[in-house]
Amino acid sequence: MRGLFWEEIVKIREVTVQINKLGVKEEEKFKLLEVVYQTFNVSILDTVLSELPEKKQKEFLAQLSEKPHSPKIIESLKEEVKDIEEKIIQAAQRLKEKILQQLEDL
Amino acid sequence: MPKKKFKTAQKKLSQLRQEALIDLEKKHQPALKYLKKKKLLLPGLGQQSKKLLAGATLAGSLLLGPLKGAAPLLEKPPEERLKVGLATAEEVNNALKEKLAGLLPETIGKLSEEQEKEICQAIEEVLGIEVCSRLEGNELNHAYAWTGYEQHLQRYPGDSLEEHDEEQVAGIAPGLGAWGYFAASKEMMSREEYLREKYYVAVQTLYLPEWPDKYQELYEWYQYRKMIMINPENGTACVAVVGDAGPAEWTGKQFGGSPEVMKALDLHLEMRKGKVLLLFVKDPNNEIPLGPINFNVQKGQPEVA
Repeated sequence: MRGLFWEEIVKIREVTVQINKLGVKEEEKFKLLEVVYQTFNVSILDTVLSELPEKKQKEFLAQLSEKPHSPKIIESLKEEVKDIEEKIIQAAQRLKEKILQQLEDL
Repeated sequence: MPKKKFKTAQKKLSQLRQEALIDLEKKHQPALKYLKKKKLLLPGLGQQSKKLLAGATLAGSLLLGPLKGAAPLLEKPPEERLKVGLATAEEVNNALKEKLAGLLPETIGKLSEEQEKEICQAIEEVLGIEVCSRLEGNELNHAYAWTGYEQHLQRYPGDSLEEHDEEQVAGIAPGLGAWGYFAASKEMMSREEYLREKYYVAVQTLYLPEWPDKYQELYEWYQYRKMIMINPENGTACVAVVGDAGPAEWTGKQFGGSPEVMKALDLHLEMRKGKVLLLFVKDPNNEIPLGPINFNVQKGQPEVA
């Protein structure tokens, strides 16, 4: 199965490693990862919408709703927004740091 | 304690998710209204949402709807979850055991190039760690051989067995390890230094053919070199550093494992020895954590969609 459109450029390995190090049960680990995944999804959606004009936002949302895994999504975004990949990566990195800090403090 | 940790982690992470949703809703009302109007749902965000977002923000109700046909993470078969780093520890161990079966040499020793390629590929597929038996021109005399149960090592001047938090039954070596103390003092010992003693392996550097000519260079190269020890009998694995030299040839063993390494491989009881793979870990940025490894460190992303 493919991941969502952003999974090719955003890696959350460090978060997974940190969750694995908590020593919690497997089911609990999955629950935590699901929340992490959801948060990345929302954050990346926010980043993309912030870069697009309203009309293009609608196109993007329709495309995302229709084929969320399609690599064409990121290709379309690259045509509309300069350095969109870099912007998504930066937003994800900021979120990743926040998450890691929360987990490391446990 | 782990239950409390889970609850705390869940609370903190849920808080971050909630903040992200609030941000999204604040900034993108028109886009979210469009989604609602068109009755569009964005996938990939799980099924537990509505309850969690009882506040029923617009964003929450639109973004966290169930994905048509998507299997919840836990319902996916092990092979699916293994691919995305979400298999259980037991499933990972079993997968490694199965992949290594049939690839191991018949006798202890070095690996042929073909064996190295196949074995390392199997390990990388399951654990996501790049490993090899030859690194930067260096190779041990054995990659597959017998390992024994070592004692704890003194980490700093004045260290004692009572200061070690696990496997005290192993005792503590009276002399220092081949690379001396791990830290200058108890107060100065970092977490990394603490983990180096906890998860160390001993290798027979003294019997390397090039040792007499290049001992100074090799001594430095092998110090705290990151390796992975794998028990192919049960698929358990532990990432460790080279922390001592040995064992002596007469023991009939070619490697040693710290008490914690041997415990991680389930070789800490009865005979306290076993045939293992010991390979170099390619980790130039020091990202692979020391200790038992029963998850895939590369493919950590859950595929909810």
